[in-house]
Amino acid sequence: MSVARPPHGQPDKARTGSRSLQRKRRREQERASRRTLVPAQAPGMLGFDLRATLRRVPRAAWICALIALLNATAWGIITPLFQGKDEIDNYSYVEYLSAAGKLPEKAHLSGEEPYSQKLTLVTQGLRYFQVRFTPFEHSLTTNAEQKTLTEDVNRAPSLEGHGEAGRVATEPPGYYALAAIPYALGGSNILVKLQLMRLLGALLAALTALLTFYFLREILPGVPWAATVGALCVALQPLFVSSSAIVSPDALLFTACAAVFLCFALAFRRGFDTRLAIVTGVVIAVGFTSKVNYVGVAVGVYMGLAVLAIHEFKSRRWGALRAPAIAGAIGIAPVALFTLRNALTNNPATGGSVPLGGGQLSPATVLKELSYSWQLFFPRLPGMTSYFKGVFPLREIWFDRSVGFYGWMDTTFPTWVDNVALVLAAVVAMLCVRELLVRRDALRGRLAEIAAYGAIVVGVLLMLGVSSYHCDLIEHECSLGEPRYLLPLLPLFGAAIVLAIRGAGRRWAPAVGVAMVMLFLGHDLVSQLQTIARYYG
Amino acid sequence: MVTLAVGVALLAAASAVALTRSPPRVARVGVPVGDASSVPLGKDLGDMTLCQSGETLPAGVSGIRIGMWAFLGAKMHVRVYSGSRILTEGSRGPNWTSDSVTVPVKPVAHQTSGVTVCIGIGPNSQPLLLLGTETPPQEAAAATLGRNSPTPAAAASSHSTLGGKIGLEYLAGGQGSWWSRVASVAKHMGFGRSYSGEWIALLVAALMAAVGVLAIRQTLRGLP
Repeated sequence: MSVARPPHGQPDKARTGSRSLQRKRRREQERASRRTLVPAQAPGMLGFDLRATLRRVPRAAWICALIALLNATAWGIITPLFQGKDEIDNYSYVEYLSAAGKLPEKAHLSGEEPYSQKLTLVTQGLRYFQVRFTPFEHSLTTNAEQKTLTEDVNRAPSLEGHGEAGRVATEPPGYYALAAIPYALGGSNILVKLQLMRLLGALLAALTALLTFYFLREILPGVPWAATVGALCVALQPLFVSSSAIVSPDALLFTACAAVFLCFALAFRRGFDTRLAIVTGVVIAVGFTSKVNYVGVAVGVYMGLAVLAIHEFKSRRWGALRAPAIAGAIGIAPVALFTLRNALTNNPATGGSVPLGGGQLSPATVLKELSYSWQLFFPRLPGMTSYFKGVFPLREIWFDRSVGFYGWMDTTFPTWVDNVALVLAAVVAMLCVRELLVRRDALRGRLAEIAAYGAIVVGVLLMLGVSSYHCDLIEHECSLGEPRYLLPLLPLFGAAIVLAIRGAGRRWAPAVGVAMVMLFLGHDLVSQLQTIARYYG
Repeated sequence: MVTLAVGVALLAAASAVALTRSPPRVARVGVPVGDASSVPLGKDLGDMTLCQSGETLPAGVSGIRIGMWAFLGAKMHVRVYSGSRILTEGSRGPNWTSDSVTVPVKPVAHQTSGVTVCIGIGPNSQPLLLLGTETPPQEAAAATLGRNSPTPAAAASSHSTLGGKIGLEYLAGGQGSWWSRVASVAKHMGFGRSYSGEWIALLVAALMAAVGVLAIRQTLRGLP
């Protein structure tokens, strides 16, 4: 897959800016041409040369990835071990996978603790259950507690047996299989294992930032530095980085989604050839193996593939169907294998998180689900039954919690911080809308591509809405109000940042770009301080 | 460069101001919150008013912590009564998740005993678990369902009790600023790992300094 910057054609005078900018661009072009002249050495399958590809990666992309890596590493240290959301269950899944060598069969819901004796011992030493969900309860604070923990960690390997995967048993195994590598490298020390597994998440965050960089350069090539700023803001986004920095399949999900967005951008802009179709298929397949939530993304992805086929049908007729068919077939392979395996072993075909059972569906239920899903994100329309009394979900769930929702969901900011953030977000949104209005003619030519991205957004929102409906109204547990569920759409968030910068106009764009980076850096640092105060204060 | 300088200055100033603040301290424990002996006293899926008498409101209290679990919180309104007179009150939005919720209130100058703390919950359609300690019925908190003003009269009108006292703790401003606690925070950050020590805090600081320098350098480098 070639992901070098696209040729932009001859820019007009208004877009080229100052002489210094022109000089800078000339230097960039020279460097790019030097890179392309490097002969491919030892090309592997499909003519893919890793070293040459890596050499073509722009310095700015490496820096964005490095920032995400360092940032996630810091978050991985700041968040006390096992205090990430569902981290104990995710660790237990990997422990089970490594020890039993097979996929978990049984899900345990809250109240049942299926953890191994060694893990239970260490989490007791960490005061895990006392600290979790209790914002005023700090992590370890005395030498005596640390000594007890050290003794527990040393004693743990002598305990027999392994636990089960807890409430995440229904998740697909892709991420957990990857995490089994750092798990094995950690030796017999559970704390070292967990810290290494968190580093895997940091690496995946770096990869996500890198892919987002390319996605932004691809879809908004007019002002390359603005795309870099967009990717920098993604690498500094504290919710994304803190969610990736713990042991969680979310990290792989975000990476797979960023890759899917990039594949779509390349397909719409450079044509969907067989090679890109294979890569897209593999990326979709990786997504399916990352987390059940990918189902929502996949609904949009397959609709996007259909849009691509229709888009290319005009020029390539029936040949246009080949690439989407290849991508779709490769992508669905893990699901087919998983279903086959479950059929052979008499297990249920899917995980429990996403209700797919057609037996419960009736027109009335579907209408209720749609109404609930709508209200989960948007203001209630006249005639709709109110499902969220006293809560405006868009503001109080999705926005406020995006501003700060760390640790075991118990570390947040005071309300005034959310209010200030809302004002800033409104300014960014206005700049973004301004740019879209100014460039509406260009948008018209890209409706198919926008429709594909829109399909992914709708897929994610619908999946969340339907899952939340079942969890809330049928199982009477709770609504799924965690903004990390929206992070698969992170590349579009980066695009909104770039649009906002461009929306400020040529004169103010650099200032807005710098302000944006400072804002995200400040948000990240303050979020870390808030988390430090909560756990170590 | 001007934007950058302003940004760095604002960030430094905001951090410095935040570090001059003190973390809240528990001025008084009415009924322990988050204690191992806490038990569920009831599950609420709607609006409710609770009133708990026999409490003592210390001077300078800036927040009241209530024992209550919710995944998706509800709006809370707290009023503290001495007889029928409101001593202080406060409210907070539904953006909370945990097994306790702290509602900010206006500090009072003097300690008052024999007060009644009334909590109005709602509008609400999500599960809430009320946590506290079991007591004889005559000491238990009074509760009434439905959306009422959080007054002792409203709570008493239903003649129903929770079966215990809800967890209540009174928070006031702490004594030492975050600045004065930097060393102890750094020490605590070293705990809970295989390799302990204050150097963990320094490592985090170094990582984030590198992040800041790289981000700013890259931004300036790319600008037109």
